[in-house]
Amino acid sequence: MKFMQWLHRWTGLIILLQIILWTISGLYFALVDHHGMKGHQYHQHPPQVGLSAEQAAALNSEWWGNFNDVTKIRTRLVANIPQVEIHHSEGVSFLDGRTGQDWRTHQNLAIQIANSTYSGPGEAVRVAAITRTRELNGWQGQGYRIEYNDDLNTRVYVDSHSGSVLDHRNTPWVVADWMFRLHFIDYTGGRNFNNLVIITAGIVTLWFALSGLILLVKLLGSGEMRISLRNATLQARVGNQDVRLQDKAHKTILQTLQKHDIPVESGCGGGGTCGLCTVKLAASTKITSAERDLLTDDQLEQGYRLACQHQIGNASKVEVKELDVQRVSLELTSSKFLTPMLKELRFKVRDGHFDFSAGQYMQFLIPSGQTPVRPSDVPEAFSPEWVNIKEAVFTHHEVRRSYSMATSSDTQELVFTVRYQPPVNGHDRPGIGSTYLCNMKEGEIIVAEGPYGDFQRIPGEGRKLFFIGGGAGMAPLRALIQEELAEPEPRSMVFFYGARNRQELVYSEEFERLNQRGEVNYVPVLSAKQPSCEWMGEEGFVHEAAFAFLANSDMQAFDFYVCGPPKMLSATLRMLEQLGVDRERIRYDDFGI
Amino acid sequence: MQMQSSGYRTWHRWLSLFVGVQMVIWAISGAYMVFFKLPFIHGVHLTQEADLPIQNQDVIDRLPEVLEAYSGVYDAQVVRRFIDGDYQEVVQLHTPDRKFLVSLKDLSTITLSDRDIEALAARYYKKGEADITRVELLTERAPTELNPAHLPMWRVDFDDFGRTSLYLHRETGEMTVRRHDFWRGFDMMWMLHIMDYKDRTDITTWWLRGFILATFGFAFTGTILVLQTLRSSRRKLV
Repeated sequence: MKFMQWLHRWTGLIILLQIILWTISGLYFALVDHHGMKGHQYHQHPPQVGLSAEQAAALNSEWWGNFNDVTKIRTRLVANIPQVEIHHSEGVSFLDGRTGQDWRTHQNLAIQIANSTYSGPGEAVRVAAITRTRELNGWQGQGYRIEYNDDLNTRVYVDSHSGSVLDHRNTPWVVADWMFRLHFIDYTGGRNFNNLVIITAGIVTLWFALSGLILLVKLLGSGEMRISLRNATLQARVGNQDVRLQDKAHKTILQTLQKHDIPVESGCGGGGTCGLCTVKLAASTKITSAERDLLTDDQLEQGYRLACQHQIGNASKVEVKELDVQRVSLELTSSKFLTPMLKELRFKVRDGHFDFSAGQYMQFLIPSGQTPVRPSDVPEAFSPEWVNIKEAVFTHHEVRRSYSMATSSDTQELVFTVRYQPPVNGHDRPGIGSTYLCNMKEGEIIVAEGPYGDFQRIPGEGRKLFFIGGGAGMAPLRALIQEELAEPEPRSMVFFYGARNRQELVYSEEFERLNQRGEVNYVPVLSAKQPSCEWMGEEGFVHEAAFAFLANSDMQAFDFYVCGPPKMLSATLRMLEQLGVDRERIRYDDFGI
Repeated sequence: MQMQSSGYRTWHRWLSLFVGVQMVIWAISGAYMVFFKLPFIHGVHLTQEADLPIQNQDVIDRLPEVLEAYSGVYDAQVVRRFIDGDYQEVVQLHTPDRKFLVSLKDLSTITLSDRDIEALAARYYKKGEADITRVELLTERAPTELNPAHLPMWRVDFDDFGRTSLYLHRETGEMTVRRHDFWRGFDMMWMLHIMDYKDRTDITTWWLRGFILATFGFAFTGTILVLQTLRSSRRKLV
């Protein structure tokens, strides 16, 4: 089912624009109809008059010997001139019946021929000799375009070779033609709906539609779409408080909680894919496939479910973890560069008291405004790394950005590590959140919301803690390590920390000290050290170094804690999976994209 | 992060019940029409020319007599067609209300029999030995695969893969319409695509327009949802 959702989403994303184009052009076709699209608004059939017996008698037939295998001889009047059309082994020839010579259409004759098929109010005002035109796909030869001064800008195309009208074109036809291009994804104008592009689009659309259908059938089967006018009561225990909530029985627990302003984390908005809206229900509550994917067996056994998956008609009691989220004003007390691109920011909580646990994070409410691209306090030692970043100011809108606390619980001061995100990959501006925060001056104030998150230590006596981190992933790991060190009997800890070069090893002195004291086995790993650097330690990617370490130690003794940039995180999780580490023994904090 | 669940997802789900099912039908019928090449659907591979080259130059000299005998002719075509057990030179005359064949031997109007039609059909047929199962002159009622405006018309059925039917003009024996099972499938898909279940021609029904308009809503809610999902990673490093 998760695969179907994944398939539906990604095919949908790929084909979205074309589906909108199909819908627009389809609507156009349904509104305008064939007659409005052919360009034949001012078209009529020419009078049906043929050769007289006298004209037939005067036909010149000296051409007979010039052609082989004549299968058809056709005679008719074209603008009152007898024409002979001969189908032979090499194609079709048109002759002037009077002379037996090749048919010629001079300009005035072309106008006459065009006029015989024209019924509009205009007159032929312009004639141009042409050999091809974008308006007649596939036609090539000698011909004329005759333009009329009517309201539709009619033009009639006449083929010189046969003296026949090729077609009428006008402004509505051009619009229709574009609609066909959109609908058939054929921008050559050939209206070929068997081209490779539309076949590909067709395949994607099939998958998109069928996955949607399967999801719908599943959804109907699950009863989630049953509508109920009956009211149901949801007894919710939020933290230590009991509340009774009333709503329609078919509403989900998530909908009901959110409607009553009880905060629940949710990433996907009720889609059953992010796994954040975990609540506790009766342990007997049925388990959906989304829950089987996203929750552990232990959690399921204890009654943990996703609030988006159950309707209040079927689940009347819920325990919601109280999200003690509050908004606090933070005053910057210190801001200093620890590495060339990473700053440590220390804030004082203005409104007094603030509780959080190690590993949690805050959301900063970055206001809109104008911010310098380059902070003014880049230390001299780090300036080589900044040489390509010019002074400038950029305008940005307001955003929310999350940062983990880099210390274990402290009620007065919040410490964050912020990595400056330089303009990359064609973006002309740096990261909004990081740039804003790196530019803050001491004494300035910013509002943040939190604490969020449940990146916490797993209890268990005798377990060892294995931390793997990279870049700004340092912050929550450092907090967890501090918290563990504050325990009466700290457990054994290993910390693999990856950075590109020595300069980027943040808090390295602190961890070297812990290493020497034997409190944390700290292993820094460099992936791109400077040529001049004399480095005796580990090199390569941090997850590879950790892998080598684990291969020679008792893996089962460890619980794993991972945090870092997306690529490092996914590589590490893959590595742990390969080693066969139980999922319940791994905790990670996902920065996301 | 708090993300309001209800709105767009509920709408998208309920719309999917009505529009979504039609979208599946559009996708399937569209895919059928896209996958099978149009000339194949039209049965171009089923037939070939059946007239033979004209042998006498004199046929042109007979035209004045023909036009004396028949009035109102605006188009005259001399061909050599297989009629009455042999190839013979005839002229096909078009008047505003009919087209027919005239013998160049005696200027009489030719009436084609079912045996003539069977022989012609076998010569038009390109897929090898013709296994003709039925020759029928349709006068009153056209099958759904034939536009009634063509009536009257000869229908010739073949026993082959695709159950080919060729429709020949009643008076001239010209190959006029080709049908086979892939065309019939295409026609069904076209019917489903334009939602005109009766005549399979009207692309302007209010029914269809309503569904298209609802599709905009369906696509809109879907777009919002997929964007929400993309942005739903709760943390940003930047």
